[in-house]
Amino acid sequence: MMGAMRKAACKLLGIGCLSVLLSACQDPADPLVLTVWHSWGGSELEALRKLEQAFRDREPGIRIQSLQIPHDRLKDKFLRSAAANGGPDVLIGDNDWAATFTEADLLLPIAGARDTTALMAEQETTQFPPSVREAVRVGDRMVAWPESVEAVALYYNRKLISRPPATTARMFADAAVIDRDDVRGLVLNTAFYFVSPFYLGGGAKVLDDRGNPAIDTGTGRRMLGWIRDAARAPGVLATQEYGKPDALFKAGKAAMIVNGPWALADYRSKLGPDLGVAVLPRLGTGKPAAPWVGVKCMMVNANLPIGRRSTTAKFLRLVAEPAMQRMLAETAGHVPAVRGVALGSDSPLEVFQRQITTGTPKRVDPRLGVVWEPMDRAIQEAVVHGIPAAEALKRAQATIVARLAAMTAQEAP
Amino acid sequence: MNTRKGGFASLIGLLGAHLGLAAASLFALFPVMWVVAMALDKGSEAHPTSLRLWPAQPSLDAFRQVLAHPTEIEGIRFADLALNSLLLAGGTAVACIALGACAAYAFSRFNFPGRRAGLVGFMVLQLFPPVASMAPLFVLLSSLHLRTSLVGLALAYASGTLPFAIWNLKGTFDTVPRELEEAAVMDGCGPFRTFLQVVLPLAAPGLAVTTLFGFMAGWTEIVLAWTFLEDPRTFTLSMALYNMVGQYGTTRPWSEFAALSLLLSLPVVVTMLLLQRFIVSGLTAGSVKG
Amino acid sequence: MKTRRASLLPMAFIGPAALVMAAVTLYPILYGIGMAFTDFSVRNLRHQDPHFVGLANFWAILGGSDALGISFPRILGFNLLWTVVNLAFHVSLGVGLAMLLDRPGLRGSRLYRAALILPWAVPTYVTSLTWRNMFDAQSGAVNLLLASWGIQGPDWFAHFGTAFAAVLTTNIWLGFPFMMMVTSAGLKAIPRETQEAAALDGASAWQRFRHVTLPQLRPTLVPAILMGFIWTFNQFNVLYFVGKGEPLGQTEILVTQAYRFVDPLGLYGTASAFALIIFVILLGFTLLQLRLTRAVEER
Repeated sequence: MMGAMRKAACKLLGIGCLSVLLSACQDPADPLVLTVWHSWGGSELEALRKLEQAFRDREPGIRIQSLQIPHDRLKDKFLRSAAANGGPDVLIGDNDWAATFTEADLLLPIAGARDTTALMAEQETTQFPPSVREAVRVGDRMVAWPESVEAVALYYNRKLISRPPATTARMFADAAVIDRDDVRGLVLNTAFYFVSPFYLGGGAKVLDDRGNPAIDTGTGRRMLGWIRDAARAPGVLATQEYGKPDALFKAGKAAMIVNGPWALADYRSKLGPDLGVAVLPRLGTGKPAAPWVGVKCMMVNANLPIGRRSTTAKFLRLVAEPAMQRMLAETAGHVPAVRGVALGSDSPLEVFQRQITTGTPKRVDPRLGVVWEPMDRAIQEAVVHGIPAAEALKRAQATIVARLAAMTAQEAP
Repeated sequence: MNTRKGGFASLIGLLGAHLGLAAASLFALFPVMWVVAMALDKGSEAHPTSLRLWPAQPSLDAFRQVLAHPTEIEGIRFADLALNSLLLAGGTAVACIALGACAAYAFSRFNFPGRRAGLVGFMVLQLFPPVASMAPLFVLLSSLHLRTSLVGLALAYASGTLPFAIWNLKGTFDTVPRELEEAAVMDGCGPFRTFLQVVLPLAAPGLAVTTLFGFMAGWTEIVLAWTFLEDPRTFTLSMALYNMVGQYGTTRPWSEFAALSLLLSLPVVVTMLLLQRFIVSGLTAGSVKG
Repeated sequence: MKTRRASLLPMAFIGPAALVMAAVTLYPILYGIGMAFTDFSVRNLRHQDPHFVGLANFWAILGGSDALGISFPRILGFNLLWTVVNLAFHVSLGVGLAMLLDRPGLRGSRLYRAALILPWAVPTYVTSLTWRNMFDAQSGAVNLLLASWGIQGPDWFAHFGTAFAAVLTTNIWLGFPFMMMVTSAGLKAIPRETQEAAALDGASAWQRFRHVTLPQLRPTLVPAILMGFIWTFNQFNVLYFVGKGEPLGQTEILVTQAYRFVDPLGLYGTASAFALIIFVILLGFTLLQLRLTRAVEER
C-alpha cells in the first residue's frame, strides 16, 4: 500500500513540476501571444471568435489567447493578478470597473493629451462620439477603449401585447389587463440600475453638479414612492434578482421587461418574431426615461510589456472599425460605440441607439461606485418592507456620505 | 404475557423506527431527486411552474451535452477537466495525509516540550477566517511561481485540511496499542519504519476518513480555484460548474447544470458509500479522544 | 546525546506539516493581522504602503460607523442564534436517527444509512444553489410542493423569519449526517449488555437513553459538537449562496459580512480587522470548550 502511495506521490510531484515548467516557459515578453480575459458567453463568445479570426487574417503571426471567466469573478481576478504584476494584456469589462482599476493603478492609459506613456494618440479617439469618450475618461486621460454602448429599453412579447406603451401610465394599465394565471404583465427588476430610467427621468439625482451626494431630496422621495407603487401595481412582478424576470420573459410568461441589449440575442432565439423592442415609455410629466448609459470596453493592463504595445493597439483599432462594429451588432447585439455605423431602421439595436440619446452617462467615477448598494437597499426597504421613502433615502444618503468621507480621508496624505 | 406485551411494544417501536427513518430519508433525498429530474428533463426550464419529480420527456441529452462541451472554452474536454480535478483532489489528499500522519504520530507518541502548545497551535490556525489572508496568500504563491499551477492550489487546500487531519489521525494513533511498536523496535526497526510498517496499516480507518476529507476539499473548491488559476489546461470540473451559473448572458439550460452537478457529485457519493464502514470507525477513533 | 535525538525525532515528524502551515497559513494570517491596523484598500494592492490607522477599523466595526452600515452586535447575535439552533437540530436529529438505525432487528438499515449519508457527500456549492432554487417563491420545489397541498407558499427571502427558516433547513439538511455518523460510531463502542441490564431493571426507553446511553455517548459527541460549532459558526457557502444576506442583510453572519467588505467594497483593512475579531471570538469559545472537554474526560 505504501509503495502505491509513494508511487502516486512521485507521479503527482512530477506532474506538478511539469505544470510549473509549462507556466514558466511562456515568456511574458513574447510578442506573438496576446491574452484577453472576458466573461462573454453564447452569442457574444461567437462574436469574439469572429473578432479573433479577423485579427488572425490581418496579423497571421499573432495568436490571441482568450479566457472566459465567470462574470462575478472577473473584476476581482483582474484586480488581484494585475496587482501582483500578472494578468492578461487586455480585459473586456464594464467602464465603471475602470474607476477601481485606476485607483489601484492597474491600467495603461489609452490616450492622454499630456501623457507620454499612453498607448495611442489623442486624435484616434475622435471616432467615438463625445458622450462615449466622456464615459471612459478620468481627468484628461482615456482609460479604456469603448467597444459598445449599453442602456436598458423595453422588450415586449407581441403575442401578449400588440403595441408598446408610450407612457408609464399606459404600461401599468396594459400590465394589469394582460396579467392572468401564470402570465405576468410586466416583470421588473427593481435593482437601482434597472429602475433608474424612471428615477432619473423623473428628475431625481444621485450626485449633484459638484459630485456631492444628493439622494435625500423631495424629488428623490417622490420618485422612490413612484417605484414602490410601480412594484406593487397589479400585473407587475418585482424582484431584485436578474434571473427570474429574465427567465419568465424568455419562457413567454411575461409581456414586458426592462433590459439591456445584451439580452437581445437570447430573447430573439427564444421568442423569434414575437419579440418587440421599444424606447422606454415616457413618464406622466411627458419627460423621457433616462437610463444609465454604460460602455463596454477593452482595458489594457499596466503590466503590458513594451514588446506587445503595438500589437495591442492594433487589436483595439480593429475592434473600432466599422465592419467589426457591424459584426458585433449583428452577432452579439452590441450597440456600436463609434460614430456613423448605420444599422437600418428595422434593427432593434436602432431602438437602443435612440434610447441612449435620452440617457444619463455612467462615468468612470469612484464616487458613483458607492451609490449602487445603498440605493438597492433603499428600494428594497421601500418596496418590500414598506419603510417610508424619506426614511429609506435618509439612511442611503448617510451611508453614501460616510463612505465618500472615508474615501477622501484615504486620498489625503 | 410479559413477553407478548414486550413483543407488541417492540413491533410498534420497529414500525416507528421505520416511519422516522423513511421520513428522514425522504428529506435527505428530495433535493437530490429534484436535481435528477431536472437533469433528465429535455425541455428543462430554469423556472418551472409545477413540481415534477419525473420529467415528462426523460432524456440523457443534458449529460451528452455536458460530456461533449463542459465549458465554452475551446479545446477543453470533459476528460481534461476530470483529470485535473482528480490530480488536484488526489494531490490535496496525499499532501494532507502525508504531512498530517507524520505530525499526528509525533503528537500521539512522543513527549516533547511544546507538544500541547503545538497541537493547540495547529487547531487555532484554522479559526482564522480566510477572508483576510487571501490577498497575502495570492502574493506569496505568485512570487513562488506556484499560484497558477495545481501544485500551489493543492498546497493551499492541504494547509486548510491539515488541522482536521492531525486532530483525527492523532485520535486514531492513540487507539493503536503501543506494545506492537515496542515489539517492532525490539526487532530492530527504526522509528520511521515502525511508523510506516506497523502503525499506519493499523490506522487504516482513520487514514481513509482523512484522505476522503482532503479529497473532497480539493474536488469541490471553487472560489480559490477561480481566483488563482489562469490557464484553461489546469481548469477543473467544479470550475466548469461554477462557470455555468456565474455567466450573465449564458444560454446554457438548467438541465446541463443539473447534469454536471450529478457527474461532479457521483464519485464522491460512491466513494463515501463504499467507505461507509471505515467512516464510522474512523470517526470514533478521532472523537473518543480530542 | 540521547536526549538531543529524542527531541529531534518529533521535530522531524512535525517539521514538514509545520513548514507548510507556517508558509501557506501562518504567514498570510500574520500579514492579515498587520493589515487590520491599516487603511489597506484597492489602491494598496499594487503599491502596498497603506497608512497605519491604529484601532480605527475596530472602532468603526464595533461602534457601527455609517460608512460600513452594519450593526456588529446584531450580526454577532444572529451568528450565535444561527449556530446554536443549527447544532440543536444537527445533534437531536443525528442522535435520534442513529438510535433508530441501531435498533436490533431493523431491516434495511444499510439502505436508510446510504440515503441519509447522501447530503454529506454532495458538494456544498451544489447543495447551496439547489436549495436557493428550491426556495424560489414562484417556481421553487418547496412552494410547488406546498401548492399541491393547497398552501400558498411565502416569498421566502423577503422576511427575516422565513429567510431564517430557509437557510436553517438547508444547513440542517447539510449537517445532520455528520452527527448521525459520529453517533453511530459512538454507539458501536457501547456494549449492548448495559442496555439490556437496564431494561431488565424495568427502566423505560427514555430512562435508558437518558441515564445509560447518553452518558456513554458524551465523549464521542462533545468533540464532534465542538467541531460542528466552528464549522457552523463560519458556514460561508449556505449563507452566501442561499441566504445572500436577504432580507436587507439580516441573515448575514460575520464571515459573509467580512467577505462583502472585500468584494465589492474593497475595504481590505476593515475586512482584516473583522477577521481578527471573529478569530478572537472563536478562540474564546474554543478555549472554553477545551476546558469543558477536559472536564468530560476527567469524569
